[in-house]
Amino acid sequence: MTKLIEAALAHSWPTFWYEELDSTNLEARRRASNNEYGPCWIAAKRQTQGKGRLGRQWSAPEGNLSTTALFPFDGTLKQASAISFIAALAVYDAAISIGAKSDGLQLKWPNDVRSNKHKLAGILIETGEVSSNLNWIALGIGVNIQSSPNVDQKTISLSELTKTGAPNADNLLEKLKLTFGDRLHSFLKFGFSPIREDWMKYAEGLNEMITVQDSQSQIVGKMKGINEDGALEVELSDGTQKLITTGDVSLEN
Amino acid sequence: MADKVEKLDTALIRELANILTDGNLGEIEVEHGELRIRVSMPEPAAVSYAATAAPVAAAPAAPVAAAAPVAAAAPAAPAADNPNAVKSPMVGTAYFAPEPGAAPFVEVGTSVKEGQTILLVEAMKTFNPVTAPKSGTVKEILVSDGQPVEYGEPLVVIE
Repeated sequence: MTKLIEAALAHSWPTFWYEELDSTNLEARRRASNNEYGPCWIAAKRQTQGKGRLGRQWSAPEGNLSTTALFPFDGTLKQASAISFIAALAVYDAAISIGAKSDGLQLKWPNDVRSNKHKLAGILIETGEVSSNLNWIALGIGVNIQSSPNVDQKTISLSELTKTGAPNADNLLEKLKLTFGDRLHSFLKFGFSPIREDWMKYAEGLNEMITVQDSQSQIVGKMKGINEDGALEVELSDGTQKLITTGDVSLEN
Repeated sequence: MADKVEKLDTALIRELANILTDGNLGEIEVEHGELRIRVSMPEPAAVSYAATAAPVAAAPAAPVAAAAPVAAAAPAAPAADNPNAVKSPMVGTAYFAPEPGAAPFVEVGTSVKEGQTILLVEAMKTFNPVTAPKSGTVKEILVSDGQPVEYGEPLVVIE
């Protein structure tokens, strides 16, 4: 079922560096529409039209990492959702491996990497259909390395979290390629359980009151964790449990 | 009482629809007491019924004068069974456009080609396109922009 992606992991994926791109996800999309599905990493020193969820601006000045992993995926779309958590853990691992302090470094559902509630990295995934059994995945990752531009929330950069000084984007990407490969490999071998377990270990807001806002509703309740699909489990005040697949999570404190 | 009538109708309509399909017929009408049911098949099986005297067609293609009140569940049921309804590949949230404020992928009346993106479904910050399984025209959009959708939920009717 996921033979293709397994085979892809046997090799190192090439990286295509650009001086400037509108966005690495858009470049991935252009390649995919040209029947190029990778696997590869696309990275840009400057990104002029970086986007977050729902078209939110993601500012990425030079020195920060803007990258997209583009790869064919022969699993189901449900399995593709796991990539969200795999990627968050990979960014977490990469940050630790270049010397970021783990104290206060956490994951906010589904895949924000934050340090003491300040956003360090954002992830946005887009998929596309190649055929009925094959999709491509564009895993877009933005990491604040040198600077932490304020977007719609408080942000922080790796330079503020490392004693030895932040790495350059190239070095961080090399680390990320390794950590992502390891996490993806573990997922293919053992399924979502170890990913879920580790994600919960670093999760922000576990057993705390959270608010989830989506375009049509707002839910307030206690965060219980994520289920085997990655859906957020929230316990409402009447004791019922709600599963959430979409929305912005905010924490009380 | 309305519930009872509705339950009765569902079974009967299903039966009639089967006869319709099997016999390759265009329309069947039966009358029982004050209840009259007409099941018609304009193109693919579209089923309509009314608990009052006036026959009502739920199929968009068949306008019938003096529409009598139709049970609330009636319009949804044909869409769900409609073989031309494109279903959600996953649990998530459906979006009409690539981002808020952008032009929608399709509207009712849009001609689409096979493989063309008609909606996005988001789950776990992963945006998946829902594509047209065949070329045709968008007849109906069954969800609203930003609406949570279930796996297999009918989203758009393309004929």
